[in-house]
Amino acid sequence: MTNSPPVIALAEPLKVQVSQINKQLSRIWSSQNDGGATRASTFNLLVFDPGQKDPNAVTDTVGAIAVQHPCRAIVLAAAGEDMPEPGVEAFVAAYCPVSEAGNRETVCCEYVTLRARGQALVDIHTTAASLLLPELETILWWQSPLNPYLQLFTNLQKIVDRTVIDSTLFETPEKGLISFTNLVFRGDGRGSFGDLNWSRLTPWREEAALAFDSEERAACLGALDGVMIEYGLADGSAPNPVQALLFLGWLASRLGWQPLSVHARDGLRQIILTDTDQRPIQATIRSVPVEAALSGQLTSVGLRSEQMGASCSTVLCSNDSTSCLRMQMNVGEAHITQVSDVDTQTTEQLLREALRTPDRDIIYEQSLAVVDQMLRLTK
Amino acid sequence: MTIQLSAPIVNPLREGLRLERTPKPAILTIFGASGDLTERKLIPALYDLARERRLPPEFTVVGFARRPYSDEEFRERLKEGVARYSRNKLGNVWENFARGIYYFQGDLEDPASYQQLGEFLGKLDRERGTQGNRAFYLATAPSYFKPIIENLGLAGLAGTVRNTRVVIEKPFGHDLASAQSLNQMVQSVFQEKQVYRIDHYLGKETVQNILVFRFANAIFEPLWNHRYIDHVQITVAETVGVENRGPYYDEAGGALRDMIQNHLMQMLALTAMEPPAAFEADTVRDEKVKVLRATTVARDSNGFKAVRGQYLDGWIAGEPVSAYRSEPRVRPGAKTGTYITARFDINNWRWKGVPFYLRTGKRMPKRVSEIALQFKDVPHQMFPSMVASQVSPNILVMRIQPDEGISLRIEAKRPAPDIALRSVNMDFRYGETFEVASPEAYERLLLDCLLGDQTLFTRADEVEAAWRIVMPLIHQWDNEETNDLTFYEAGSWGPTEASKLMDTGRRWRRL
Repeated sequence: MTNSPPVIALAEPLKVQVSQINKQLSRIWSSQNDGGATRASTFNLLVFDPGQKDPNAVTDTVGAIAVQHPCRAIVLAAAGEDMPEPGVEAFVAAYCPVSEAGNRETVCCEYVTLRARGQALVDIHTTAASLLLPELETILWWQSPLNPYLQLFTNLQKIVDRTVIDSTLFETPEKGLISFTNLVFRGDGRGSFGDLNWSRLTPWREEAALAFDSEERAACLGALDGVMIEYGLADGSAPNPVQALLFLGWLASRLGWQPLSVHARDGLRQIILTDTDQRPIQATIRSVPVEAALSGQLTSVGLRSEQMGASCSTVLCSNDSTSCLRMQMNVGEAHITQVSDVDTQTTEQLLREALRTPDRDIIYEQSLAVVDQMLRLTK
Repeated sequence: MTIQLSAPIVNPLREGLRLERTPKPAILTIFGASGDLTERKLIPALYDLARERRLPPEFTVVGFARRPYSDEEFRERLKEGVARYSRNKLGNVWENFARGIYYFQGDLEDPASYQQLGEFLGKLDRERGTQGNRAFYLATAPSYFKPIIENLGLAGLAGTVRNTRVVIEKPFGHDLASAQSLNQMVQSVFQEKQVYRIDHYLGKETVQNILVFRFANAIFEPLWNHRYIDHVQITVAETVGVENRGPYYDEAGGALRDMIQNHLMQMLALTAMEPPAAFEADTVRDEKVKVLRATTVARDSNGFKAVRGQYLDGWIAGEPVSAYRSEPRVRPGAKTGTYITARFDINNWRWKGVPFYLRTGKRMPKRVSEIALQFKDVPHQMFPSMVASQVSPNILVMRIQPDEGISLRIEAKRPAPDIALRSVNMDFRYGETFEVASPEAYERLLLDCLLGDQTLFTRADEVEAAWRIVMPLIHQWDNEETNDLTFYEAGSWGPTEASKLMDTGRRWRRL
């Protein structure tokens, strides 16, 4: 559910030959000259949505993104058996957001849908490349597990500048994460990466940072030696510790911790890390029962220091609904509790945040690098 | 694009987060806490900041006023205000936030109250971990500024640049002499770097948008001068009347003091200033002061090129509205100008000969704020005369509200066998207005104050320079014998005399 503005079709989806796509788009803009529609583009947005069957369906999220960031959106969809192979079906449309006053906004966006299957889908990156607007960043929003489309994903890396995934969609979270980190750190792609699951951690990261902003508390960071991270596991679900791993990876990358060993069993992980002074830090990641909607989400983070005692102890936890974060810490004589709201972020909001980040999210990559090390050490 | 101050990151966990630092734990003491401003603006803004994790957990508010409230009664009162005026619904955060709010009953004019306040703040430092950091917010009538500042000094609460700030609401003085006197008094207690004179009209986004547009694009700056620009129009139009501020507005002298001296002068300064060497508080404000010092009200043989008007009965959005003199508690026969327009000249190399027309008014047909730069006509008309007569000058508009954005009017050829021209508006609205709730101006300003960023706050010399510009008009219109007040129907674009203010060949933009 989004609160993005509705869009109206400047031109309804029209099936065209692939070679006629640009011509058809030019016709659309020419026909609107007197209506004053303005074409503005800030990037190319490639969307891989394997389930996208209906070219009429301008998804809320793509529409909302295009409203805020006018672009050419190219939706890549996996066609079913109804489509002969080889071949690519193409549909072209343009949409304009409708303002609160009910007027059509004058900045409109282009939508191209390409449907293919089999090898035509695997190699669709060349067709997509021919449709990209020049001199603009190209962003791929990958709305699928990596498998069974891993080759397509790899091929698309040749033409995109940035890829945004959602690691909650990985069917086998840790294997998916290993495949992904392989591509990020050992692949041929030139682009940068984002993860909506990482964006979901922003409130937790901000809350954790808030706990150590004062000079007094900042001194605790160098003395932390224990981390407990809990994440939700719904009945009947497989454990999905991706968010927990990303959070620990973030903490470790910020504080200069290196993983030494990782022991995993069911939903429990025991990780030993060391800091730059070879001081050991013990981290535990474990699952706690939750309802289905909260499976995989962080539920609490505890940070402690044996050396500094209660004055450095910090706990972050969410209520059952994850609608708020509570942080408790000691500051001198004072025991402070901070509560902040965490709005349930829609996919659209998460994607907007991911798109707002400058070209490379170095912090994410550094955090992921630590996760990669932990995955490789896992026994 | 968000411009962040370059500040050392002490907390490694902050790197990469949208706010690279949060304010230090501090106590914000609000004088006049039982008033409207606290309930409607300050506390809702602080609540929204806390909700978004932009304030440290130890942050504490002390409301100082004369009425006998308990902490609980005060918090309950503020809760209602937050429920009504916050950007967000009252949620889980309120209770925790409210625990950091306290009430202090005191007399603004009694030095003993400030001694007791000092002890109370010291006690809160220990309980809340606020480390002696203080901010004092003067949300009172201007007549109380002097006793508050002096008593803070006497009680030893002025602190240092490192740990104490004072925030003063506009109006800062009611003319040049009073502003200078107030500055001297404030600076006898606080250092200038501790003083934050608030002007909420220009939020950070607007200021940043104007400066980014001007100084992050190479193509505009070469045109931004007398060689290419014919004139500039700055408009702030409101549909509202004086509402319940009649006596204050009347006493304060109307639109000249309420809008022209501060808000519109700020817009003029941002438009006309030279590029600062860095986006830092004093560097930016240095350039604003320079351009304000070069600015004067234009005059000709008939006197100052300025018109003041007052609204009569009329209609706004289909509803009848009363004349200014019929508003509650407005003096009968008041000569207060609710509409002001004037031409200003900037006497420097960049702007010599380029008039800046400023206009502002209440009870206008629509609410709009914009800065429009009209370019000069082409130097030579190569097209046949029939076509040439269709050519309109290019206009670049920076829209402040509603729908903050940029618009550029250019001439283009109509699709036709012959040359036929038409004007085209290229319109772009910033992302903030694309269904994303932008923070209230007070949120930004309070956060900047707590962070120690003075960029959006006016400096002493800046305030005085702005007063100096309008003093000729103040002298003219404060004189009861001056009889040049004109009238306009509410819902219209001002008195007809305003159009006569324009020099030959120029006209007010139709908005």
